[in-house]
This record gives sequence, C-alpha cells and structure tokens, in this order.
Amino acid sequence: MHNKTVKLLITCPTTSDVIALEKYCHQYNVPGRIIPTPRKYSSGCGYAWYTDLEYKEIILQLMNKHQIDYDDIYEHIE
Amino acid sequence: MRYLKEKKYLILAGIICGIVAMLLAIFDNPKNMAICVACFIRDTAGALGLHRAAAVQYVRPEIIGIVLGALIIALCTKEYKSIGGSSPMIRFLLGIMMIIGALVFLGCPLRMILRMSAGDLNAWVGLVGFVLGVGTGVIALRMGYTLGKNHETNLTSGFVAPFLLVVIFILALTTNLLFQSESGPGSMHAPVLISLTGGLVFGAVAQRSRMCFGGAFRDSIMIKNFDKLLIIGALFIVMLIYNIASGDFNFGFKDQPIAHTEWLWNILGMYVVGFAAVLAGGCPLRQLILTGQGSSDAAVTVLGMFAGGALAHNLNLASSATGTTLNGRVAVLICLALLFIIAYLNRRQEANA
Repeated sequence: MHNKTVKLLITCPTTSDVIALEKYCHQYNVPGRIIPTPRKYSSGCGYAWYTDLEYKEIILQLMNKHQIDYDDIYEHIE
Repeated sequence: MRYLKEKKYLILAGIICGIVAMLLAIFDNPKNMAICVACFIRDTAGALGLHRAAAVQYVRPEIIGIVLGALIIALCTKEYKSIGGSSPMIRFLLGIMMIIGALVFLGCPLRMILRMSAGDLNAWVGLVGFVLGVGTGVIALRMGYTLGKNHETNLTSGFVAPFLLVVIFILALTTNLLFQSESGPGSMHAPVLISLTGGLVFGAVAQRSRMCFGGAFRDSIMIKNFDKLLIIGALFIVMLIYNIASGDFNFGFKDQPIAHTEWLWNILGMYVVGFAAVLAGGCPLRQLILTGQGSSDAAVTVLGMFAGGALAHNLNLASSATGTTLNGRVAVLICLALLFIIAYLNRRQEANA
C-alpha cells in the first residue's frame, strides 16, 4: 500500500533560475533537488525545484531576496 | 506506479519513432538517413535555392510533417502557446552552428543514432563528441548561462513558421519553382504521402514524449535522470533489429553510407552540435517540435538551421563520403570559439555575485 504524499514543485522560466534556486537552497540548508518538470505540468523539457511542502514560505522569501523568477508553484501529489 | 507507467510511455514513443524511421528507410529514403533533421533541412534549403549543391535539393515532407504533427497535437492538448523574445539572434547563430557541426559529422543527433544502429563506428565516435559537447553545455548552465526568459506573443506569431513550411510544401507539390535533385541523396526519397505521414507521427510522438537528444544527455549528466534516454534506446533497438534483418548492418568504420572516417572531426562536429543544443535549449529535432508548439524562438533557431544548411554548401563546409574539407574544419573551430564566447557572455549576473 503506497501512501500518497504531497511535495512542493516550483517551475521557473529559465534553467538558470532553477540552478540559482538550488544554489541558494543549499546555502540556506533548505533540502530539495532539481528534477525534470513532470509532463503533466509542462510540454517543455525544463527543470523544477522539488522539495517538501513545509519549505514553501522560506523558498518564496529566498526567491524574492535573490530575484529568482518562477512560473508556477504546485502541490505535487505522488 | 505512475513513474513506471511514464517510463513505459517513453519506451513506446521510442518504438513508434523507430518504426517510422524504419518505414522511411524501407520506402527509399537514403540509407542510414531515414530521417535526419540536419540533412533534410539542408535538402529543403537547397530546394529553395539557398544553395546550389545539385545532389542535395528536395523539399523533405518529413520536416513539414514534424512541425505540423507537433502543432496539431499541441492544439488538441491545449499546449500550444505563442512565445518568443529570448535572445533571438543568438538562437539564430546557434541554429547555424548546430547544422554546420552536423554537416561536418554528416548527421544530426537523430541520424547519429540511426548510423550507430547500422554498425557505423564513426557514429559511435561522434557520440563521444556529442556527449562531451552536452557536458560542456551543462557546465555553462551551472555557471549561470541563460538566454533570458521568453514572453507571450500575439497568438498568430507562433503560426507563421508552420504556415511558411506549408506554403513551401504546396509550392513543391504544385509548381516547378523549386529545385529537385536528379541524382545523389536528394533524389532518394520515400513517396510524398508516406514521408509526410511519417513526419506527422514522428512530430506528434516527439511532442508528447518531449523527445530531445540534447535534453536526454543533459538530464543524464546534470541531474542523473536517465528517463529520456529510454526513448533513444528504444529507437536504437528498433533500428538495430531492422538493420540486422534487412542486411544493412555493417559493423566497422569503412564503407558506411554517407559517412567519413575522420575521427577527430566526427568528434568535434558533434561536440559543436551537443554544446549548441544545450545553449539553444534543444537539439535540431526539438527545435522543430518547439516551433510547432508556438515558440518563435525555436522558429528563429530553425531559420538559423536553414541558413547553416545553405552556408555549409555554399562555402564548401559540408563533408562528404570522401572526408571533411579544410573550410569545414576551420568553420568547426570558429563555431567552437563562438560557443564558448556565447556561453561566457550570457551568464546570469546574480548567479555570479
């Protein structure tokens, strides 16, 4: 029996935004990793930042502080 | 479970694309070139009179089909989005360089896989260059390389490139205005309807699966995600089986159809393609798909690919079965220098702070 979990998924307009997000998340000890944006969210072949839902506010502040753009924020069920 | 299901779809996509390539080969497209984006764009450029290499002039319906297939499926799934404005002239340059690199090697990444499946070891050498090129592109991405974000444009903007391709196709079918090879690779082609249908299917499947040769290796190197390689692997296996069954499998370096054995330039040619593909956000095939989805940025890259195809023959850059040319070797070196300059100059300022 597989329990469904909800994760946070952030898509950005450019790969460099996702990479910058990764850099600052690591710098501020926010866990997470880069994954290919799931097909259901995008027909592009870009990347998304994937982390736990609880870090949403920290990440939003971090993106604001370092001027990192994002396209969408999803609560990704898996 | 969902993850496994997605992988099955990717493998299925590769099998379908492999079958399309196989059918195009059966129906008389050039050997080991069943469907090659670089070669077919070069042929179409020749048909338009952009170059005068008589052996490679033919409007390839596969190119039109790939773009229209992606467009139709994107409209059906509501994924069509007219976008543009992300450093278009740099993309134009990257398109030129992708095709020059490909025509020095003699094939885009798709044809590289088809050649590999036919036992052509020169293509395996080219793969080394391609992976190294993609790897260099990944380093550039890690250092903050970006062409900037795109913007939504007027809805009609995204339709212009597919419309122009349809006009070219109609001209080819109904008039004698365009050039057509009487001998050489340009004279070898499947019947128009089969070529067009093959392109439509290929384009639709590639759009749904997000097939990209550059992207597959980029994901593998950058984030250790190998999913997109499944598509390429499946395509390779289908064509491998076909080549063995049809007797076209010829293991070795010599006597391969439309290929040369100069290993250094096979590596460097595909290095240029891999590097440029990462910087442009997709391989030549992916650029066609994105054009169908409404990206004017990708359409500008495709225009660059047409210009690259024309330049490759007008300036004697393209290789032949006898080998590379001096001009081609110099052009590859110039492309390499330009790619590093583009990667260096287009870095995200904030990431460097």
